[in-house]
Amino acid sequence: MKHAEKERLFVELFEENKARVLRLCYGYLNSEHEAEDLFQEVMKNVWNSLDGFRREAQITTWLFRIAVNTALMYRRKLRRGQALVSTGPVPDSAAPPPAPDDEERLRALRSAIAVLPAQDRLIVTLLLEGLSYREIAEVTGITVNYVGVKISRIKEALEKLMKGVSHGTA
Amino acid sequence: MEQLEELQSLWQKQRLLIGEMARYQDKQLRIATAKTVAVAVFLIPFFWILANYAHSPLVVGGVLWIAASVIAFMFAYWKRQFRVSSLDFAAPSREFIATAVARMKEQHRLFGVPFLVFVGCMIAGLNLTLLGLSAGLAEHLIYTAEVAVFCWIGLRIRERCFRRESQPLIDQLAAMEDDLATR
Repeated sequence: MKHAEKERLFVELFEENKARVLRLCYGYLNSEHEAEDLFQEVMKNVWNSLDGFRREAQITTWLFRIAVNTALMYRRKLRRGQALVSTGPVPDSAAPPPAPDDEERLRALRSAIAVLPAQDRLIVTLLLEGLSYREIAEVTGITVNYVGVKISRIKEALEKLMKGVSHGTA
Repeated sequence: MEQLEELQSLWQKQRLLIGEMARYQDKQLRIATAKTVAVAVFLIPFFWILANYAHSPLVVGGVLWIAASVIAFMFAYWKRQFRVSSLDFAAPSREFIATAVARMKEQHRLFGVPFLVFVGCMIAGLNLTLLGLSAGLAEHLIYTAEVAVFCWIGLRIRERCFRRESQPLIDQLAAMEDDLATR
């Protein structure tokens, strides 16, 4: 792949998917600060993997594979003394920001996801991003049936946890 | 549980702040560079000995033996390091996890028997060199002990770093691998 083409593809991928990838990072780590760090690693790996990208593969699946695998390899670190400058909200969608009531539910959802095992955190984040069972199976490498089993277990666990949070017990 | 579509829409409404893509130097690259410099500095005295005692086959043999051992070990180390850093992140996670665990374990195994062989070769080369320099028994013992102690300290530091940083990750990935392997 030529450098200019690689750069164009990267920028396109970055612009179109940064919000989704960042939400996945945040869902996995439940820390905005660390999510940024992980996000940068994901983007670094996306850049490094672009040469091997086959056009026939679905780009979303390919990108989420990199994001999930980078998250799995991510080691929580103490900061390296490097400040990241916040530049403003991600223009992820035309949708308005969540209402205060929604904020509460979102907080409960995040807290519930945070206590799930690492693998389940990633699967549920993929589901929340709107990936189908088949796409999740393609990202993770497990069968569609097992994705179904996993998701039904995760939903059960989330339900309990979210009830706990809304009753102030979690 | 709330309808999944509702949660999905709520989730996708999240507005997170994103930082600038900071240009930070890769820590691993800095470590690798430092190690290369350390190895080069370590080898300088041996090349000096080689230049000044070129007439002694024992000295030349000993120094070359040490240099060959260091180069062979560092080559094996960097090869494994490269294999870990060049994982295919675009592979399906199940396959990715299996490869990552295998490569990290392989990298750690280098510091078992192969490292002891490396230390043995270093000590043998050192004593050969000292023999060529007509050193006394005390010098043989002191330098041998010095190399052994340095290698032991290095090994301990590495073990500590491994237990703190890599082992938890390997355990977590291995647990996932087990969970996914039968499916």
